[in-house]
Amino acid sequence: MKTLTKIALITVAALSSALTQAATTSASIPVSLTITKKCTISDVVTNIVIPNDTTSGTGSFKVTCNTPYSISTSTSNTTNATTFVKSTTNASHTLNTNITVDLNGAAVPVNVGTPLAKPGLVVDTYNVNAALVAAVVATTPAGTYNDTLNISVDY
Amino acid sequence: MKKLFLALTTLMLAAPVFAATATSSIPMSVEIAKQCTFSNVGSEIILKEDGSDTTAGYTVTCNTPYSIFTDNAKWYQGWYSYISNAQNEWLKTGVGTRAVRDNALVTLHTGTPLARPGYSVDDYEVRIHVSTPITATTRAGVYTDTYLVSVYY
Repeated sequence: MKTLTKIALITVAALSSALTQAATTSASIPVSLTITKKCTISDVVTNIVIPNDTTSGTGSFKVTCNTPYSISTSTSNTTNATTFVKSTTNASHTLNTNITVDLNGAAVPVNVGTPLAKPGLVVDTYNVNAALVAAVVATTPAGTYNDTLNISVDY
Repeated sequence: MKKLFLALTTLMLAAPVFAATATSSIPMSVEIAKQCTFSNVGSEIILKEDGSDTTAGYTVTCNTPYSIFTDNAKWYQGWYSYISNAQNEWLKTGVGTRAVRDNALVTLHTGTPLARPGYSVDDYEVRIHVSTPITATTRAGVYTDTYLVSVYY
């Protein structure tokens, strides 16, 4: 009988202990943000006036990307390496040009060549130089000659 | 015949004299174990680039008093945590949790867990926003963290 009483007491003690023991329940929720890839071209010079001699007219533009990108340019008058400006009144009148685009000396292709790869994550300011290959002479037909430089950023 | 009759009479008379009641008792009890459960837990908190709040929620149901405590896997300091990308670049986030019933704030990472009376179904709301400005040069990609909540009872 004494033995039974002891067992009963031990059982009660064990139950009591179980009921007072601290417990923890946990949960979790994943948190995420997805920033989409984005590139902008800004502060694009409105016009580059090319001097009549062989000095350069200059301009610039900025590329801002939050991801690596590659950049290339093309001209409207041709897809070849030899670029030119064209008379607005007579398309047969052309003047060859030398156009360069660079970022701190790293060349961006114009019409031909491998696009320049950049890591992005900064604001990159590109310089544009455009010059006539040969200076205008006294017999060069008067008029306005133009071309357009197109900028393409892939990301 | 006479003897048998007498014997039966004696037995019948004797029976009421020796009547007794045997009693016993069986204790009965129910032990209801302490229990707390989470339900309606938001599956994901997707933050916004513009820094506005994203809300999520969950429900705690307890049959006993409890205390509740929150944390983030990438706790920063105070009410701030952070999310980070594969390059280990990080953006600070503001994290707040309140009990919907009385707007009591639940501590984040440090401090005393918020004590609640229990015996109730309590809804909680989590608000998280990106507090580091996201600029045009903030790297594109996925930034993550994990919101954690524990109930002690």
